[in-house]
Amino acid sequence: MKFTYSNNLQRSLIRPDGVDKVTGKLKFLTDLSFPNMLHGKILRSAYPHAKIISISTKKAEELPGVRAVITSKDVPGLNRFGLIFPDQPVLCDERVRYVGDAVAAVAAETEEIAEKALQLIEVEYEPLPVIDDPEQALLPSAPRLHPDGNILHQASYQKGNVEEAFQTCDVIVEETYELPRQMHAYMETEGGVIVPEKDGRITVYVGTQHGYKDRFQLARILNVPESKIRVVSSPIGGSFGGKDELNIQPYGALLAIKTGCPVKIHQSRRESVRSGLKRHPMKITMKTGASRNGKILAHQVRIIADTGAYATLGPAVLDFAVEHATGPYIIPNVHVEGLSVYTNNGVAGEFRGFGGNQVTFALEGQIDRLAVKLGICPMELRKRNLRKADDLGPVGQEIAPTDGAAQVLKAISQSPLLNKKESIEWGEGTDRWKKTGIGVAIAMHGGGLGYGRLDPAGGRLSLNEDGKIEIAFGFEEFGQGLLFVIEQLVIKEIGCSANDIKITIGDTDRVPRSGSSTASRGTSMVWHALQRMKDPFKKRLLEKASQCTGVPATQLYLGPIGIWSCGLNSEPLITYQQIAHETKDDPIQIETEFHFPTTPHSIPGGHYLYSFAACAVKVEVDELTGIVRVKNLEQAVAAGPVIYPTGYLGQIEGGSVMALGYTLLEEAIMEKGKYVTENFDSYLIPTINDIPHSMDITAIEELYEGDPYGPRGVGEIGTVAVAPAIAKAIYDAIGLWVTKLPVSREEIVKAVNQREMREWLTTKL
Amino acid sequence: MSMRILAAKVWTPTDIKEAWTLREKFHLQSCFVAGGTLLQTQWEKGVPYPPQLISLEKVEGLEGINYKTEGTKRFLQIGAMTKLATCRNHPVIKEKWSLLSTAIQQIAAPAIRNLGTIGGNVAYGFGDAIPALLTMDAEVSYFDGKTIKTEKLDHWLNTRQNKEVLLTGVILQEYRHSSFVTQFYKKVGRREAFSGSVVTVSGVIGKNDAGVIDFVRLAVGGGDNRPHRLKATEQLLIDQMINPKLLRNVYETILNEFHPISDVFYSDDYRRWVTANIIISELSRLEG
Amino acid sequence: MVDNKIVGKAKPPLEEKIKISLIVNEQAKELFVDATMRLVDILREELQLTGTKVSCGIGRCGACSVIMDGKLVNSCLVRAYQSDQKEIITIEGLGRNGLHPIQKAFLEEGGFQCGYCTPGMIMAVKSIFDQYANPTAEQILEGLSGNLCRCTGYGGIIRAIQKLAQL
Repeated sequence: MKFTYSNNLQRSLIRPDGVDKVTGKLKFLTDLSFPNMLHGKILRSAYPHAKIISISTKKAEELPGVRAVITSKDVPGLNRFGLIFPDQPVLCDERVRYVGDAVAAVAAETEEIAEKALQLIEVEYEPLPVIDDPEQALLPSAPRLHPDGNILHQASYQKGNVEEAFQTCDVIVEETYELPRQMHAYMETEGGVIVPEKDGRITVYVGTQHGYKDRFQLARILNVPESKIRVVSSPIGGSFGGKDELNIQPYGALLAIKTGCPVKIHQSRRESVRSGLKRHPMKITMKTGASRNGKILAHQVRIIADTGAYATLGPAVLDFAVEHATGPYIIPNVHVEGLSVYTNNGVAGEFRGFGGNQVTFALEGQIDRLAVKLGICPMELRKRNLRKADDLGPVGQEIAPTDGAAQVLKAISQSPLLNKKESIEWGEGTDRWKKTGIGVAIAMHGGGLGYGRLDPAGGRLSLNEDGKIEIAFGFEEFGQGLLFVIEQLVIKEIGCSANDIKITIGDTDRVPRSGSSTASRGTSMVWHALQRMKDPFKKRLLEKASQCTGVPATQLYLGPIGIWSCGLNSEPLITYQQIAHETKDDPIQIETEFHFPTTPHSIPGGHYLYSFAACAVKVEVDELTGIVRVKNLEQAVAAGPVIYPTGYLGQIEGGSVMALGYTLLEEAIMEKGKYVTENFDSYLIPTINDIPHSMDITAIEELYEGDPYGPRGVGEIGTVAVAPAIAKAIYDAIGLWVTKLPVSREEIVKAVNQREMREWLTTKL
Repeated sequence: MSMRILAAKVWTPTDIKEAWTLREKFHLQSCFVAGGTLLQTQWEKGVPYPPQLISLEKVEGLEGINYKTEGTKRFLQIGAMTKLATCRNHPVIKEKWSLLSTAIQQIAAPAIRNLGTIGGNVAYGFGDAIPALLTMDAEVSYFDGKTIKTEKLDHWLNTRQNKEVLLTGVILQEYRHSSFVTQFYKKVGRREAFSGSVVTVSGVIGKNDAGVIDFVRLAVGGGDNRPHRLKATEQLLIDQMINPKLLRNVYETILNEFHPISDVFYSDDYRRWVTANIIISELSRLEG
Repeated sequence: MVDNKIVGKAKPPLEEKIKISLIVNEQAKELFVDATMRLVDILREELQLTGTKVSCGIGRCGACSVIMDGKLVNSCLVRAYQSDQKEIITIEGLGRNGLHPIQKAFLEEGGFQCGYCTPGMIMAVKSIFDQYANPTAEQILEGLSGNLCRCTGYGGIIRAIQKLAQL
């Protein structure tokens, strides 16, 4: 067996946080410890849906070692949280709507005592009927989970007239696709320490993807001004969208304030499964029609998303899915309707891909089915309907011109996987009971939060008193490699060396607002901020240097260690440290504030900057067991310039394997509102044995001529096209269309049974 | 259930009699603990643990692998407390009882195999080593309160509920088999590695020079499927030559004989089909 | 029927708290802890060695991997009474005189992103190279089968190991 993990990207540059990570020295926020620290535990609902009749905490309070027990009456401000609108109780008082709902919390001297105290809290519930299916929730007879009913959000898009257009189609395919509940499965579960400070403030050392937003939400809950709260949000052991919303912070904060002591909460995996966010399960019905010559004329889509008990970012996810329902194709008649529905299932929210994964699986499935019915090569069919560089966006909005779709399609068409000169015969596998197949899919993905959403960005560049060029952003590092991107961009734009730089992120006391570290926006926003700050910063530095040295600024430039004068020199004219000394009383500091680029068209949620990917896979289907193995995977990605090759590669490879898990392995199964897969022994993510033998990633860096927007983020794009490529490859291998994820081995064996096995038993032998 | 510290007392007896006495004294308020890897996974899920844990780690004579000769017979004695990793890598096991090595390689992952024991795997009753051991006619030795007894693993599994014993070892006889032998062990997990079993199938099939099957052992298990031999299927194959009609009969017989469980991940039908497919494919390998 | 004489021979149970002696990263430690305290908590809380992580708590992810008496184990599944008299190496025990070759390879090849699985992963890689000077692909896959990584897709980890194999 041979590994080929090739790539075209030059590597071998060390991340700023690298040494601490490989030596174990790096302290994650869940590694922190403080004097007099207590341990917190949260009591979660025993039922997926129930009325709370009474809560008695007396016995728990009396347990030796317990310092505080809190319930809803201990919440001084708003007893609700939620990124869009706060509808999730911090501590439930009347009703619980899913098994992760918090009812009480305890702080005690040891974790064992806190655990025991939870068992002594007496909650009397009156169970209510459980709604565990969105279609059930939509019935008029269904109990109302929220005051306004069971529909969280509706979104739609229309263009032309689909009903008329279908009449003119030569071929129509209609299919319903079912997408599962995936779990982020970050290796570090939710947790951290909340510390009450002597000056009456609190410091919240808990990972999140948006420190300032956490501060805002906590201030509302605690009924204190935001200035009283400091959020330290980095480094994080993985997030993938799951730690943007609040999780344990309110409980830690309330307990810390009540006890006057630092309180540590670190959820067990079981607690994380129970209470944490998940990807939206969706049922997507698509009806797509085309003319004989392969022009797609009509596309009708209905999306039902199971958003679970509370809103969080449910509306935005649905908007994103609706927006991406036509992908990179130009279709004259479109009708997309989406519904996000409340149930008593686990809360669904932000997750890498954000609705794009689900709808792209369906869309690409439609394209592949049409191609088969029309007898047209699937690559060719895509080409015939593909957007051109200056076409409008998927919901008719103006977008930054981009040729990305054509670029990735062209790149993947050159893949050796699609070249039939393979040594293995088409359709045959490594033994007589294995069949091979190839599949291709493409994806388009909008970055940033979209039109009308608060998508602020900003940064600060300064020369600090230690003589370091300090670059500060309100972002967080959770593995995506942002620290390296920041470092490299500063080196490139300013001209200094890595040793001259200090990067400050993830601390609301020390950083400007940069918006969230989500939606593939981080790299892009860092680049934009630096474009705005570099010239004023350099100018100030050169002016000061000129003042100090008497050399005209025009003969000076920024380099490693300090300012150099033009010509051959072995050392700088004046060091950054020296300039810092000179500017002690009036430090050089540049700040910028701006907004993520958006479309001028007022389409709520409409995106402006898009990235693209094309994925080709070779799979092997085992007819005896139905097991599907991805042998080779290739992705071509168009997202602008590569700033940090190792990081870029890591995001696409990591995203590919996460998507492989989504396609073949992962489902957070719930029955009647209770999780069945409660830990990593039953919720299975890919191991090193599950990955393809080769993953080849190609980065297409060329942007459209005149594009001023710089690098797009690649955090999500690698996750989107993998599932539909695998589904097509399965069809290629054994003629079975998969409509439900994760792929069912049983369905494959059944299909093989029906078509071949009986004959195989009698004739081949 | 908090797993940080257990609300239990740990006993560390140094001989079998002492271990047994403790068990008799505390009875249902106690359990034996070998490596503890499987037990802890169950306790974490909420399966209650008893207040007295009797660790077998220090009991003399329970660990070790001995390749012995008695008269004309050669056999392997594996102490119950021998780590799974030790069994997997043992040169004699790899050479002469390779099915066991193959089976262990697919149990959990290296770190767990460095703690888990063969005895723990067998005593659990559903361990993935059992189907391999059944096809090799393994025996178990155990202490019944008075003496050490030996009996066929197959028989012990079927009658163990009648009496409580302390497993002390696994014994494998060296057999001379047929002219042509195929042996296989396949654990179909939910993932390529490190997964519980959906179904585990093991077999040893031998045919003589004339191409007639003269030896068959077929065993299934895995997950919550009680490990056992497929004796009706074995009977069907004995003294037969492989031909398409036979294979079709074998397929049907397996479907009828094997009653696997159904769970939220896979149905009983899937487990039956896969078992039958694997066995048929191995038979046709022997043929071809 | 219990024979009192035999019961009298049974040693008393390990008291709630027991004294254990272990060598951690070549330093002898004597601790007084609960008999059932998990080794991972002993390391992180008693010895402030927070490099070893907790992620699943049931030995299914490898984030807590350490080397005990030369063998890779999940420290979340090892109890205090099982670690008495044992030699433990944690991530902090590697590269104390400059970075260990495995750590260098991980740095150069992007063998990590968020870094949470990394200490356990590095210990698992060390365990492979302790057993085999030139591990085959099969030995590498088997050796790392118990260590989950959610960020890298394992590509960077494989590149790091390929680099080591060349040395």
